[in-house]
Amino acid sequence: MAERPTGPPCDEPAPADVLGTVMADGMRQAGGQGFGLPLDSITLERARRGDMRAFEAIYAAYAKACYNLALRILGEPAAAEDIVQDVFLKLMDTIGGFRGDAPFGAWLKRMAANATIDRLRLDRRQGVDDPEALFATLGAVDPPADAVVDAWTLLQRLPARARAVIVLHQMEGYTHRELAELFGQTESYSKSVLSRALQRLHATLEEPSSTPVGAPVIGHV
Amino acid sequence: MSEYRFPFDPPASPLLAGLPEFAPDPALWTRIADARRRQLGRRRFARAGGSLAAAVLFAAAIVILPRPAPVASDPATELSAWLQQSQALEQEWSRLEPSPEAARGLRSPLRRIDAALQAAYDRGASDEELAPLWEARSKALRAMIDNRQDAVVTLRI
Repeated sequence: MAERPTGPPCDEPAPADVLGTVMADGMRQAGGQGFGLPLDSITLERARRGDMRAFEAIYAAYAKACYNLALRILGEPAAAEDIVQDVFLKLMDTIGGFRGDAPFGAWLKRMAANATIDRLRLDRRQGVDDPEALFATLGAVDPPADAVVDAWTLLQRLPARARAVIVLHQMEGYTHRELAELFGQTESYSKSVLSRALQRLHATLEEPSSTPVGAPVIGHV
Repeated sequence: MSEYRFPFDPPASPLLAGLPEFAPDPALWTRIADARRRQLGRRRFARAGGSLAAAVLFAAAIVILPRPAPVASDPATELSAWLQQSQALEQEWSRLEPSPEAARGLRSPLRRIDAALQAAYDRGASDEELAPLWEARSKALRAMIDNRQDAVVTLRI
């Protein structure tokens, strides 16, 4: 089972200062959230010149989105933090090449997703090409012994590749074609993995002994 | 591409909508900034080392390597230059010489050189052999022109 993150939970609605455009002074104006948060041109320009305060403002705005993307797929806080560090170090080197023809958050999200999938590839156990084989190692659908079931736990019971497909498709808006490219597989592979993963999740939910999901039962302290 | 879309609609599965969000370790930015400083420091060191090595190599090359020998003139170029000069002097001479009869007598030094040139061309001589002959011809023509000009001046006086 993947390690449960020990960082502070952010289940509540994002505080007001997390929403909006990242401004040059590190403050934010109303806008989006997570990777959808727009980046103002002054901060972008300062970052292109290597201003660490601008990078810090970008980090403050997008680090959590990067971290959660990686964490949901990798399941390990330390690995997710490594991904955030790698992504931001790479960002500092490559932001000069960001042309601005796509939203900044989307560009960063792609870097984070690629870094996370690269990390998955390092683990040969996750390199299963056959969707059936991917799920074969899992046991029968059964509720946990302590009957404590939450969304995080259920997601982490899936193989890492399945988690990646679910998170990227269902939460980050990747298409099956993009997932196929990302994994070097066919679209039908991505569709099959997604279908099986969702089936697996919903089967667990339908177990009578499972507690309702949606909010973690155990506080993430 | 996905980067153009931000799916803020709830995920298809209600389960995923309930996924908690976690914040990274508050010290992570400090670690990233430190790593960046180390990265930049290493790069500056590598650049400085590279520049120093290049400077040392350059200095060593100046001191150690033998100086290049003077570039020998290209025989073809030299020949061409003497040939052009000879032709120009020939035109100058023709403007000075009043009569063909007088010219025949005055051109006798050239005849030997022209014969040598013809013999050289007949045997397929190299540019290196031809160039001195054309040089000699140019100098002979220059002497003839100078003598002729002196003679004209003397007669006028």
